[in-house]
Amino acid sequence: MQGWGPRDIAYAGIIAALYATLTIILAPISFGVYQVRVAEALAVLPFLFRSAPVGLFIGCLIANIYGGYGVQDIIFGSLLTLMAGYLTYFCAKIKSVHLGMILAPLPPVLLNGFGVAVYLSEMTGMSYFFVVQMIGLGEMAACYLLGLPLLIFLRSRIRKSRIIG
Amino acid sequence: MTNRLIIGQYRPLDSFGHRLDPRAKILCAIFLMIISIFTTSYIFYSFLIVGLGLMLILSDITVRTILKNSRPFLILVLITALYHLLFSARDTHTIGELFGYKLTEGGLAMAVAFSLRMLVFVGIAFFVSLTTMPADMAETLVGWLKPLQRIGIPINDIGLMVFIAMRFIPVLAEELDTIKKAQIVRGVNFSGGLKNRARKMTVLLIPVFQAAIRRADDLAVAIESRGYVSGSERSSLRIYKFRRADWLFLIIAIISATIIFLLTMEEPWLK
Repeated sequence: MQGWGPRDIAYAGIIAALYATLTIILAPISFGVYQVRVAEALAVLPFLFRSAPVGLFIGCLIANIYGGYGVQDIIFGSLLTLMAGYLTYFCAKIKSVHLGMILAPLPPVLLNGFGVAVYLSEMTGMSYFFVVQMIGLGEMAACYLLGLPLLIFLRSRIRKSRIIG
Repeated sequence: MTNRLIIGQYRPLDSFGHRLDPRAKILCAIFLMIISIFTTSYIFYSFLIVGLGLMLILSDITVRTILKNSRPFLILVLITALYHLLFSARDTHTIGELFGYKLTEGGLAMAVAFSLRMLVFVGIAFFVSLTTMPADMAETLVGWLKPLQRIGIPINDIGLMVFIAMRFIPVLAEELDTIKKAQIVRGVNFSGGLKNRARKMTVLLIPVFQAAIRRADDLAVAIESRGYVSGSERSSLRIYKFRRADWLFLIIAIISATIIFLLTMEEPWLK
């Protein structure tokens, strides 16, 4: 975060607000074992914005406060989102842009699928692998069906206008 | 969309629960959630649920608000209970049948215990989120992260990001609503199957994100023009002070939960 300017801070704050808004408004499908958290589509943003991982972390932290799944979800859920955000950020460093874009939504799917399932299976007493499948499927729907088209669109717009970066 | 009741949304009231220091409430929540993991005692969970119910009543939260907020969670509790009834502890004593499916004593015990545990977690989250301003919660968390400043993490910048996020949640919620209505007017149909809804979500997500980026650019100019220096020391509008009531609340909650935990540890039905 060293050397971040006002623009990075503003972007992170707004990304956090958008993540939290989408999660809270769509709360019935954003929490629990059977979830499709639409806001996770924003998890591809670190590919384009360097401050996005922190924004996603803050947004997830705020949203999870409302979730009803406790301190584990607030702390570990947000940290997993932060880690996934930085892995997505590193996907942008891959030489092949197309490969990088295809891989960009993968870290949130894997980290949330396997990570969130640890405490959610403990809380609900459900089998770990059952929860991994459910969370993983929801994440895949959000990140690949919504996130990837968003990433493709934004990247093309950025290349055309060069107003963001 | 924005007029709908948002789950766990802060209720601005003046009650015992609202007046408590946010740090006391969050510390208590952390303790109760951690201790709840180390037991499956239905007596322990029942005590916590009664205690949380009392706290919510003392905080002027009506039963209607609780029921309205808890609907999605009750569905999950039901699914959790069904899952355990049908799939858990299959090798224990059979007690009956449900739609031709064998019900076991162990399965029923796990269904009760884990459903109650879920209710405890939801109750704790409700008590904290309905009685604590989001900004207070964020400030508490940022305050606890202050020691990380020593290893070079700019906590004050993170604090600013948190406050931007808090400030813009209602603004973006309104914008999302406006854009959704505008897309409906243009003929976009958001109803239908899951696949259709997911596909149409991109029609909503992209303009919302573009609008958010425009706001971020304006905000960056505003931050810069006010001479914000990253990493510099910032002061807080609110100064929290632990009062006697906060200490009493915290100590009574922790001691009573610990005593009930210890007394119900050897409960024979559910160990």
